[in-house]
Amino acid sequence: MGRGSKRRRGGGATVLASALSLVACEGPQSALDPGGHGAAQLAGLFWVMLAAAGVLWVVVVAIAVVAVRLRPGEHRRRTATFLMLGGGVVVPTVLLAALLWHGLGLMRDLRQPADPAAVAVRVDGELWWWRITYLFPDGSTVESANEVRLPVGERVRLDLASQNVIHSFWLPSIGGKMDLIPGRTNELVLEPTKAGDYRGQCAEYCGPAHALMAFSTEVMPKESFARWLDAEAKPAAEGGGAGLDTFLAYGCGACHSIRGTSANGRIGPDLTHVASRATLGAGTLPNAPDNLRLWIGHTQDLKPDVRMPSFGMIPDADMTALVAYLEGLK
Amino acid sequence: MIFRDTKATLWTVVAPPSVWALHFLTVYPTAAVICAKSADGIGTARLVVFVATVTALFAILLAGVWGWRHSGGVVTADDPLDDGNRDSRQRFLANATLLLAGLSFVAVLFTGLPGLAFGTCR
Ligand code: HEC
Ligand SMILES: [Cu+2]
Repeated sequence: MGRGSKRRRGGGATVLASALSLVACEGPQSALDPGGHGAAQLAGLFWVMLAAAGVLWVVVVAIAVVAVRLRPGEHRRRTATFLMLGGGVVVPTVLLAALLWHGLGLMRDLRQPADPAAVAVRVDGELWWWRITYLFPDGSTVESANEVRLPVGERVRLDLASQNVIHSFWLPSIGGKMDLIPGRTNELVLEPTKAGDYRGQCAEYCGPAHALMAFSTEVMPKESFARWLDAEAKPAAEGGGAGLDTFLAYGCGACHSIRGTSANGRIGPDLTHVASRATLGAGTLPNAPDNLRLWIGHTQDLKPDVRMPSFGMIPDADMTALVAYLEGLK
Repeated sequence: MIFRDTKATLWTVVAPPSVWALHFLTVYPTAAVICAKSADGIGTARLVVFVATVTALFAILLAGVWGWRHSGGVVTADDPLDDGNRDSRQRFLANATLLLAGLSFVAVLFTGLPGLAFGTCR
C-alpha cells in the first residue's frame, strides 16, 4: 500500500462528504434552502462565515506547512513577530469586528415590524404540541393546532408564549428561532417568500416527547390563505352521527373542542378541522385513517408521556365510525 | 506624574478587565430596562451606552499607557520576566496590565458597537 491508495481513499471520503452535505441542504426543514426572508438572510450569513473560515483555515494551514515542512529552521525575528501580531491579534480583531458589524446590520433588518394589516398568529407551547391561534385585526380569533399556515409575501407577527416550560419555535426554512418562555410573550416576525410545505420543530428540550413536538407549515398564496382561513373559522361539518356520539360518549370532549358540537375541552388540540392537517400528534404520524385509528387506540405507545390516554377499549365498529367522523372534519 | 511614581501591583493588572466588566454591567441592564419600559427610549439608551463606552475606553487607555511605561518598552521572549527580583516582577505586572488593557479595549468597543448600530429598540 503506497501513498497513492491512501490519497484515493481520502478523495472518496471528500466526495462522499460533499455529496452528503449537498443532500442535507434541501428539504422542508433546512436553513440552507430558504423559503423566507429571514432564512435567506441567515443562510447568507452562514455562507459568508463559512467562506471566511475557509480562507482562514487555508492560510493557517499554509503557514503551518511552511513552518513545519518547507522551512523548519529558525525564522527571522521580525517576520515571526509580524506573523504573530498580525495573525494572532490584528486579523482576528478586524475580522470579528467586520462580522459583528455585518451581524448587527442583519439584526436590524430581521427585527423590522410586521405588516399591521396582516393576520397575526399566537403560538402556545403545550406539553407536547402547539396551540395555534390566528388573531384577526378586529380582535376575533380562530384556534387550530400543530400547523401554521402563512400567506406568502407578508410579514406576519407570531406571539410566542408558554404556560408550562420553555419551548423553542424553529421553522428553519422561513426564519430564525425563538424561545417560548413562561410568563412572557416573545415576538417573532416571519416573512415567507416561497409557497410550499415546510416542517418546524421544538428546539428547546421540554420533556420526554420533545423530539415528537413538531409542526407542519404551509405557505400559501394570499388569496388561498384568506379562503382557507375563512373555512378554518367556520364550525365543524354538520352531521356527526354515530362517530360524534362515540366521541362524546368516551369523553373526548372533555379535552378536545369541535366547534359546533358540545365538545369544548381545552386540554388537547382543537379538532374542528383535524382532517385538513398534515400530521397527528404534533408530527408523530402522517394524518391518514389507519394512523388515526392507531393514534386513538395506542396513544401511550406512540408518544412518551403523552397527555392523552389510549382508548384501546373502543369496540371496532364504534372506532370505525369515530375515525370516519374525524376524517370528515376537513 | 502618576505614571512614573506608582508601582505595579496585582490591582493594576485587574484594573482593565474590571473596567470591562463594569462597562458591561452598566450598559447591558440599562439598555434592557430602558427599552423594556418604552420602545421610544432608544435615544436615552444610546446616550448611556455612548457615555459609558467612552469613559471605559479612556480608563482602559490610561491603564494601557501606564503598563507601557512601566514595562520599559516591548517585552520580548528574550526578556526574563521570572528572575524573582523586584525589577523583573514589576515588568511582568506592567506588561500583563498592558496586554489586558489591549484585550479589554477591544472587548468594550465590541460591547458598545450595538449602541451605534441600532436606531430602535426592536
Ligand atoms: C385527558 C385528555 C384527553 C382525552 C380524554 C382525549 N384526548 Fe386526544 N389529545 C389529548 C392531548 C393532550 C393531545 C395532544 C398529544 C400530543 O400530541 O402530545 C391529544 C391529541 C389528539 C389527536 C391528535 C390531534 C393533532 O392535531 O395532532 C387526536 C386526533 C385526538 N387526540 C383524538 C382523541 C379522541 C378521539 C379522544 C376520545 C376517544 C381523545 N382524543 C381523548 C388529550 C386528550
Ligand atoms: Cu421541546
